[in-house]
Amino acid sequence: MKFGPEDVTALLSEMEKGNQEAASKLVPLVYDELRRIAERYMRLERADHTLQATALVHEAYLKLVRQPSKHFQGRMHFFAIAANTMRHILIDHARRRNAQKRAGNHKVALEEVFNVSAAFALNRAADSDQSEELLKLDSALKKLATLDPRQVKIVELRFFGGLTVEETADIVGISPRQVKREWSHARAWLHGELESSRHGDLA
Amino acid sequence: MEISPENWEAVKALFQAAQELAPEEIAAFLNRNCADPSLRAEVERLLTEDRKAGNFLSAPALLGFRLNPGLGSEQFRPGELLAGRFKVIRFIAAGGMGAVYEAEDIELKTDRAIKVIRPEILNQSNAVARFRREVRLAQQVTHPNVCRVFDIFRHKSEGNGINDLWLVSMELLQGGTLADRLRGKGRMSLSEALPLINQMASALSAAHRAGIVHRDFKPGNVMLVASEDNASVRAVVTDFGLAVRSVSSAETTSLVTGNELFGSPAYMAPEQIEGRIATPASDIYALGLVMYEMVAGRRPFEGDTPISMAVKRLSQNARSPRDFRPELSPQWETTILRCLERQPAKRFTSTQEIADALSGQDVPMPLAPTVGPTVEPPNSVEFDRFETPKSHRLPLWAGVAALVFASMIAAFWLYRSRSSPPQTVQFPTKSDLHSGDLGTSVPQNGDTTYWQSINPTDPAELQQYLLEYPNGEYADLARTRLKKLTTEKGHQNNGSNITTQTEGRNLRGCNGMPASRYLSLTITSLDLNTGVAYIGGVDRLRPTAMPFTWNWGDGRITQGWFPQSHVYADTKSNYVLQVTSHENDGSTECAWLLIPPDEIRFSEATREIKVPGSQPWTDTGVDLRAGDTLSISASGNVRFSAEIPSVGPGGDQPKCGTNPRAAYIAPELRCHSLIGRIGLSGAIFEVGVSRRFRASATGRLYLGVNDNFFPDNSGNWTVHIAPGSRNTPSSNAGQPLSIIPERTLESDRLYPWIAYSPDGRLLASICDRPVDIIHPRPSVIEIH
Repeated sequence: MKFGPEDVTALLSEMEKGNQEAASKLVPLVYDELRRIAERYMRLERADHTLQATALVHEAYLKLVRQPSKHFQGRMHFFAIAANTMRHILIDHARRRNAQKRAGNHKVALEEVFNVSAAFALNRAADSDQSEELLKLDSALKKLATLDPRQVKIVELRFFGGLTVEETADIVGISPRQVKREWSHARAWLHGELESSRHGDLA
Repeated sequence: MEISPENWEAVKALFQAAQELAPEEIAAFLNRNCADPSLRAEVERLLTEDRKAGNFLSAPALLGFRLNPGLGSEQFRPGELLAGRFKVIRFIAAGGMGAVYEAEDIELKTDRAIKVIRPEILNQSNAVARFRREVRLAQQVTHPNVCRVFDIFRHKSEGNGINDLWLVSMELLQGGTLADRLRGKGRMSLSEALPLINQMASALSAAHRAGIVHRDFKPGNVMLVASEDNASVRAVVTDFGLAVRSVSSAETTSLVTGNELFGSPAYMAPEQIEGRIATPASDIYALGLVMYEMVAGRRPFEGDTPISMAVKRLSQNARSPRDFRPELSPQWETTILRCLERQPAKRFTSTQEIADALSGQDVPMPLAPTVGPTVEPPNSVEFDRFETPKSHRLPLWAGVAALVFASMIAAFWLYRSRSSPPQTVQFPTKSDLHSGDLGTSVPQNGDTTYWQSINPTDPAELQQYLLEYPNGEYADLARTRLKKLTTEKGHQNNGSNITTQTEGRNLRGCNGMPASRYLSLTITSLDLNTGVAYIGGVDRLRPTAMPFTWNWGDGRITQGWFPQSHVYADTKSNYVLQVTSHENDGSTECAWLLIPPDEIRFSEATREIKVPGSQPWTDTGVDLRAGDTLSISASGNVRFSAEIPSVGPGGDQPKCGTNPRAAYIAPELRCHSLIGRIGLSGAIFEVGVSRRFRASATGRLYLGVNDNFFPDNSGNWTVHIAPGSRNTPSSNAGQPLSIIPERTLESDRLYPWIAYSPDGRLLASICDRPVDIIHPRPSVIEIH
């Protein structure tokens, strides 16, 4: 089934009416668009450009909906979906990279365009393997989802979606201060999870 | 260490509380509050993790991904031969279309700039054909301020030809770009800027004449070439590579990639952002942005990303460049701002006019009325606070305004309008119309039809309009270059004694433009049966959210509607009704009507509102003032996706239990600093229960599920809101108004607000972000 921009608007408004099927239809659209834009950025933009998650999400939204000012609620929904999608894109990338590494093939599709910097995405030790770390973060998040789904959502919005505390607060529906407190707790817990899995690897 | 779900919340609460303490206080705090050693160990473990975490996760994931600097930039080394003819001398720059090299044409023994087109740009079907056509067009333009395009070449690579590259040979220009100049030395003196602007305008003019729209005009595409003696600078516009022919040629419609975002978002015109066809007017907009940056030293729309700046351009007008450079003459100001009009039709019609306007020549305004009678309304009301020179006034009938919506009432109105018989409209068939002309026609039956001309020079606008109205009366009108605004029944003119027009000295146009440039409003009639006020020149009549009763003071009472959220108070505690027009092209205009407060009686009807369980909150459209009372009853079922661990926005209030069948009332969360934290005290009610509330502060009433995982819920509530008493503000006539932060009025039109000044008077504000309005009301909204 092919979707055009109008369909996205329709899906967002369906979502606002409570149609859950609309959300599940929207995710692949958002996914495709984010990937396409990311790859275009990679290829077309200047070498010194740093890929901005928020720019990506904004552009995806703009391209998919075209009515940026009229769908405030829709946009908030959209950001939440986009952040979750971004998580899947990055985890998917890490998983494929790992698989190919095991197969002895070090060339990975996305790495031809991404030049992963030394200070890697998770801001953890530079010698650790970024895609391994991303996968560990993902499984830690899955565990966290059973304990505190709201914290998972906050992590997705902040870390994968690149949203500010205030934007996150808007979407989750709590105060910025509460976002900060939840974020701090989630971050400490996740750090512990990654550390212990790291030590587990060494043992 | 594993933690049980039961302990999670307890540990979290202790951790979060401990985090706010000084390190030396933590042990004592845990001694006092945590008897369970395993809980305590977990809290301490997390506190340690938090210390060790450093900047773990502190930057967004994608910040770690930097672009590969090797890709798409310097592909060829000096000495390499391109297409068997051009010997690379050096790499110059990489842009959106590809990398540019300085190279020697070994046949002609001359130096050229060679652009290597990125292969992915040309790998779509028809792309090469399109590219060839574009180059052929660009070849035709020979102008000192347009970078010459000579020819295209194919650079063979190994293999089957799939990886062949296309090259464009162009005039080699020595110098930096305008972008470099602005980055390096900031804004320009007017004497430096003026010749450059004239040259750029002239370049675009030449291209437009050849049927080329640049589509990606920006400082990075303007080279500044110094003359031999360094006495003057030549501005040369480059990179017409993205240009496609403007729509006037039928052949090219298939070339228009309407859904692609071509060009740089930072300099795109609103219509381009919306995916509509770029026209010469889009280049004029881009030139306006560039001029703005040259003289003001900054862009008119600031944002974190080019996209967020672009989004602002859709909904806001530019701030005056004089805000940043006060010595700028009004001539410069109006010229730049006219380039930045959101409606293409209101901009200059050619770039040459920009040069003329800057040199002081008269350029006709597109809104200048040339046809149609001016309707001087009887008993027109003048407001001495808003006195403005007559010459600045636009005719009263010139407004194109629609009252701001209320969906329920709108539905009612649609029903009403459908029941009325169709009108036969006679319209003028003028051939000498100017863009935006407005007029009326009054046939035999006394009805008045208002119409506006569609820009005859902008086929794109017509096309856009026909897309919206493919057939019928509106389409017929459009084909004669007229747009019908409204038809007003002759016998309904009896409400015209509230006809008015105000121009704001304190209040400004809703997008920061001086109000005098836009204001023109007539309430042409009032439907006494429905209470709907008609605004002259409205194309979609929409009643507004709030019913009101208008007391004329002579025994007559008129019912009407307006959105309370759009009612402001001025220094005399008069209400100012803001009327906002949303036009087909997405632009907005505002006008105000002054209403003395003692002439307004609120009468709210019971509303029924659906509250979806899958939304965090639903806007009821009900704006409450402190002291207002209302009763709310709800019925229905929402299926929640999970048990709710905690409830309530803000989370700073005591927990309200784990009842999933809860709802809350919250003010609009968008304006945090205006409203402050959200309190939940007394705001939880069970479905099926009717309760009475009193608002202790001002804010909009929101209803929603008390669940942070709202998207997974399903089902709806039906909520009835019955009016209570409305707390009317005391009169503060004559007192000076102490705070109206001007920028809040210049902000986004979407989120109007009412706030109180420190001495309890109403303030207006429109915001799309937190604004700093200080008010003495309790920062916690309580709804009792």
